[in-house]
Amino acid sequence: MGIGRKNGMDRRTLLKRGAGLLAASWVLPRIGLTAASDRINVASIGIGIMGNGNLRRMLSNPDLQVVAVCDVDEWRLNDARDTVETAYAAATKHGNYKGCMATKDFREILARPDIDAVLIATGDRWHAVISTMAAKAGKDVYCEKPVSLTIHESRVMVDTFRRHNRILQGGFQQRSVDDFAAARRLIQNGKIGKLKIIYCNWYGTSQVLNLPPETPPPGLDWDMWLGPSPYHPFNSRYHPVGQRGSRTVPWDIQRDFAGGSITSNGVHHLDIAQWVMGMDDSGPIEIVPGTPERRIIDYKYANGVLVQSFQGRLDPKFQEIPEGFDPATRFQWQILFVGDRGWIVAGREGPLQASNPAILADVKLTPPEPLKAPDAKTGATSPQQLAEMIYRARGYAHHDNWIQSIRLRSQPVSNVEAATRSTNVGHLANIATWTGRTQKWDPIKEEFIGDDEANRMRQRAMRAPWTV
Amino acid sequence: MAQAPQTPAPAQQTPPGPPQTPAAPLPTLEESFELLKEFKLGTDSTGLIPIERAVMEVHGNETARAALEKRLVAYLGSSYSSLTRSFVCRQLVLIGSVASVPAVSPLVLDEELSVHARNALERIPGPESEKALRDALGQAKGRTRIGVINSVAARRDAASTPVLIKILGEDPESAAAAAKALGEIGTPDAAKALTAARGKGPAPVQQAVVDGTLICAERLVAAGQRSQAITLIEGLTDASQLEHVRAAAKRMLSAVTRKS
Repeated sequence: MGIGRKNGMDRRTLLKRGAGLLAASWVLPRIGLTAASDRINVASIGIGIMGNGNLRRMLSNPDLQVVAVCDVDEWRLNDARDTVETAYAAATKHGNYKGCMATKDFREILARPDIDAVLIATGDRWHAVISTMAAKAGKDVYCEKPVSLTIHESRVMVDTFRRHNRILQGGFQQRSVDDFAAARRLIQNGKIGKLKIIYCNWYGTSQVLNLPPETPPPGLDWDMWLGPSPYHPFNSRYHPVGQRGSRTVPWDIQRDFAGGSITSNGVHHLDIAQWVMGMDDSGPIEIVPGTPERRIIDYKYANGVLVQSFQGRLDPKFQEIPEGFDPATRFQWQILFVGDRGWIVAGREGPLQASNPAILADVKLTPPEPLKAPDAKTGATSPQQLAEMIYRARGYAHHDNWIQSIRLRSQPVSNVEAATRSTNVGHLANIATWTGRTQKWDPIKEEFIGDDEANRMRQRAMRAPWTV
Repeated sequence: MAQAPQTPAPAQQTPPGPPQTPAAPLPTLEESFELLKEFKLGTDSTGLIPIERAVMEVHGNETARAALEKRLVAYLGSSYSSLTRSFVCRQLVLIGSVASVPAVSPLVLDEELSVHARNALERIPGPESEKALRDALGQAKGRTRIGVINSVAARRDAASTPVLIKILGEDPESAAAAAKALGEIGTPDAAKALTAARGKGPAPVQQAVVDGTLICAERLVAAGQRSQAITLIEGLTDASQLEHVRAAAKRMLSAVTRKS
């Protein structure tokens, strides 16, 4: 692929040099008008369910050229390469395209100087290792959440991306969804008064499991699948054979690989809570774990706000149900923000709701409520279905924000500090759960106060040769 | 612009994680230690939950912690399975002290158990655990040694510097790990070794030397050795370095000189 030149400097050099050089001359190309020579060359690393969704978004993005794919499972790898080549072939006059490198070893991708950026959608165990190696190789990164497996990894990621002036966009795509952004604006503008409580769905941790060994399928490099994790024998519960499987992250049950539902799903909402409160460089100061009777995790912040992780419906025995809020509401991808003058619900499944319509007076609701007939453009038959479609479409906006940041050398909405701090809230929840006691946390020193065992959980040794 | 195939249907969301309390009654702590004796691949690990809970419950009780540590260490002998010993190491990560070091140290050289033993030694405070890792550096081979290098880096053990300098001239994978470790150690001696290694070896080693150099410079600045840091970084600003490395070095140089 040729490299375009602007004012005597090629695009790739501009990307490598970073901020400051760009302000005078660089004009952000509009979507749909990007010349082939100005596209950002990307590689997709890890092609499970999330990786596949991200790959398809990238293929339809005119600012990007997917030049390589990587997965340790040959079936997934071939499937991803075919997806890329089929998509690009359809766009050529002769209907043929064979330009996508396929490899099981991400290091081959990082060694290619023509690749500007990588999208990492491996298992959590790999996120920090590959991200930091990519930054050192001069690549910008989009990394699925949670972006790390430990608090220590998070700090190393921040230091590495700052040191090398690389850009990381965390896969916290709710930040690029209109409704969450609108809720943030309304709350920060005082529309519900002083913020008191943020209710976030998703609860559950991981365990050190000892699943029985099974024969790995041919074509799967199990050693590379495990990567930095302590050895566990192959088991198809961790990695479905010859398919992507029906669960997004089947391995998240194993503590050596992930932190369970609180880091797989819960951090999406905890991220929004951090964002709304302006805590992108901070975190809670006290974390109270759940119990079998009270399956709620409390996060207390220095600003007086209480954030809670729970599952399903609010429990009136332990949780304050704000006036006018339907206690039968089953939470999934919604967040309830409660202030001293009202409340707002923002979520993926429906339009913004509030205790008083006046709170939402200035907001254009998506989708319009109620939806009386199938939506003309999408065919959606319910507001919920339409909202889900809109939500999925907004995943493109998160990619666009990443691309814009790469071009302008500016920080994306889920930059490395914000993404790691939000991920850390999930880690804090797990450490409080695993120790079984309330933890006091110093978000500046990133230390637990007076709990040696908790502090020892902030970092883990990795299986050789991997490190961060 | 390529037309992407249709985006797949949304994935099934992850259900809540495993329950914190299993449905079946847990064994007693004594029964749990009996199960530990025979812990093998595929054995249901919920039987060991009482030990994990006991580890958490000794918090703030030094006498109880020391007693439990002693009891756990007794299961590190070679007559026990690798899985038993790795489980014990996982507990010593949390409550291990200098008393565990003699029993944990030999496991660093065991390829299967090395990561668990290193994890415990990295977390156990004091010079004894650092010395154990340093000693292992001289004995371990291949990937096991690379893991030890990474642990020495995690502890920033300056006394390992001479061995790491020697490893800088060995196979590329070991040399790259040693370069990173020297960066983390961040002393003037480490800086000198990294400067000498610059421009030598294959690309992955060079990248590690560059990364180690940048980290080392930060450590020197933090230790108040600004002039050594400046000398170190200046070496990365010449035309032989990759563009993004030069840019990173210039940024760092600018920040350091501004402060001095």
